Amino acid sequence: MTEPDAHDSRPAARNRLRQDVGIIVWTSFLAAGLETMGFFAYFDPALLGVHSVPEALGSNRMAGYTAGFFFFWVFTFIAATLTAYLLATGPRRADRS
Amino acid sequence: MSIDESGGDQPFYAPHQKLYPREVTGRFENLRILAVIGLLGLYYGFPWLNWAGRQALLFDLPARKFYIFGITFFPQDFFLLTWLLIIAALSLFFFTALAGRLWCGYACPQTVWTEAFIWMERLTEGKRSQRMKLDQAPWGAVKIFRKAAKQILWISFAAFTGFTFVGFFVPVRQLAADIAGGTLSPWELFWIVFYGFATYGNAGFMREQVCKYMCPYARFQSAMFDRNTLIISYDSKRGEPRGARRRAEDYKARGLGDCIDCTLCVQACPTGIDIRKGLQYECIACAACIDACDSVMDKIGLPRGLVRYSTQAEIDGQKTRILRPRILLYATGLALLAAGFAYAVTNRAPVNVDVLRDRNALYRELEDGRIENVYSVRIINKDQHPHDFTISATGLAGASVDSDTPLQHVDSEEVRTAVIRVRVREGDKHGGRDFNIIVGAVDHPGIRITVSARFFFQP
Repeated sequence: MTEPDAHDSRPAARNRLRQDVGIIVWTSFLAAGLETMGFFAYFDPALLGVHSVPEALGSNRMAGYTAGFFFFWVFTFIAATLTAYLLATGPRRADRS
Repeated sequence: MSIDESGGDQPFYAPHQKLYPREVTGRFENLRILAVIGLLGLYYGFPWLNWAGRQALLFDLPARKFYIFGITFFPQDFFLLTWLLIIAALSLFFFTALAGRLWCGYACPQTVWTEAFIWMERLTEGKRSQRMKLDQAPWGAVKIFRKAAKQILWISFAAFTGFTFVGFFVPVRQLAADIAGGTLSPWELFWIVFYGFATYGNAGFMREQVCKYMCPYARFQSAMFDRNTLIISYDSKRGEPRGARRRAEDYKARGLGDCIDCTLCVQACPTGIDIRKGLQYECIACAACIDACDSVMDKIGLPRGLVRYSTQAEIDGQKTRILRPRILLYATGLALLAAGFAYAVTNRAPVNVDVLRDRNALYRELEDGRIENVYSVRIINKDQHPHDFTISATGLAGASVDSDTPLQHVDSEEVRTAVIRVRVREGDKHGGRDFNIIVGAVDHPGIRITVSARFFFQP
């Protein structure tokens, strides 16, 4: 066994990045799940499809739910990524230094 | 090691080490196996259970109807689901305050599926030491065979899990027939693969990392903890100073405690912590370390319980109080919410009515001078029987209601949208008036729903 190079922080940083991405994917997944439930409890994809959504998504409810879920996921993912980025790169707060 | 500049969260930078949790046997392991079999049995069995000729538990998304043991729910009942989630959250608080992370150790899907995946791993790759040796060995026929066997087991189990998951939302028998006949819709296939993949990743690879890095409950559960909460702890007064000793040796004379430092409790830990360092947030309270330590204590002839279920109060030599304000508060809240929920479910209105104004025209002036507004009245019959409804209007002087059919027939569990034209003779009025649309069942005087709407005259 060789000792890992003490000054090489790249594997650790990569590991950290992987964990951060995991957390962001997961929290936005949870939020997207709740949003999907709440949204489609009140809006029927079949009715949305009549006027505003491409027919392929409106005519099939499963397609509508799936598209809606990923729509929410993408935007919650963006929000979570920005939040994580701003928290990680901002000035250190007094209680965490 | 370079100096950590991020301020205190050093563990984040430590490269992940693959864990090989050691197999243990004992009381709590048996309890968990029981819980795993029971919970997985419920999960995989429920979709196949029928109730009154229909799948007992079916959240029929394509039809937007939710069947739960003979009761049919509609999207309009969404608030009940919200209510149920609040009850679930409060129960989690209650049980956490009372018994710590019982949920994590025995009932969390992450634990349950990980346990099942580890069982398959043991079946194909052997015990802890064999698995470690296999991972270090160069690739050869045996390694390929064992790893392939594990992957086949894992992937088929995960695929079946995904299939079962979709079976809660699409009738499972039809789903099975679609798969057999190759007529599966791409969306259903997508969700089977998606959920199967999530299971495979979470239970096969992520495992304790989900608890450590991704689970919010693991972070905030400590807020529900107090000195009387059940925790797993190492009795350091009895165990320390730890150390190896020879059999038959008077270790007390050497100043040693009961802990022989065999590290079995560390090897057994699925999250890779040392319980002897005290309570840590990584601990999911699975009690594997208790089983491991008990078996050692049995072997060396010392009493069990060097690592045991305990409370901070007990460790400090005080009495544990079970009934305390926090517990009573949670219990009362839980009882009230549950009673309210039961009332709301049993007294659910059998019929819902939504009224929508016609989007195209605010009002229309008829040739005879009357003013007409058009509404869509959506009648949702949640009852087990069909009904015929009349639609009338009150609160609007001289109003008449006209629709294509005098009676609106709505079958059981069906939704019908009727277009009604409300006409008022006094055409010289201006602005809007609020009035009520009344939907009543002809055959059932008890079913009479009033919905308010707004009528517009010329501006």
